[in-house]
Amino acid sequence: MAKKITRASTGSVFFDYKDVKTLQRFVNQYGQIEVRKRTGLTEMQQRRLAKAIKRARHIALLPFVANN
Amino acid sequence: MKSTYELAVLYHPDLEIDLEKSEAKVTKVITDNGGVVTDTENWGKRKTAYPVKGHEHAVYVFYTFDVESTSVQKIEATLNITDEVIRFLIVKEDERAEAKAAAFKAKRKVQEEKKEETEEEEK
Repeated sequence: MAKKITRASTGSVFFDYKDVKTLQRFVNQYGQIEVRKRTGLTEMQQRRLAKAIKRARHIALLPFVANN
Repeated sequence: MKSTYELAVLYHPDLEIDLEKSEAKVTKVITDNGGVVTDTENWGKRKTAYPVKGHEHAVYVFYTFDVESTSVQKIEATLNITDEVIRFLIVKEDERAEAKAAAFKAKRKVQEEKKEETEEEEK
């Protein structure tokens, strides 16, 4: 499966819960967090990504379930 | 020892016009507990991803502030009972990760500039 998104996987990446545009790239059409195989991130980056997405969901910047 | 926290606040959508009163209330809550607001960011009225307390829209304001870690709970308790605030989130950012990422981005920019210079020389 082609990697959907590879962010600067070598360097350290910081995910900001306010930065909706980048977070949206790591969420599939149903609003779920993409698995590591598709995001191409290291384990630590994926954990930071998930934390940021969950925070963004709490303040309604990202949906829990995308209604499309 | 004071540490920096970020507070994300969703205000009631109808408060968009006279937001100063409720903003003053929130900053008062922080200062009463010995906090110092260093930065505010107002995104204004925005559609929420899902209805919050029955509202489709909310006014988003972000505060960064320094406070003693013991009084964060008090701030949370007071914010819970303020009606203007329909939802809030207090977060302690990991400065180390942020600094590392920023340093990495700067390094990459320098590399890209060097690459461009070498290409121009070749032409």
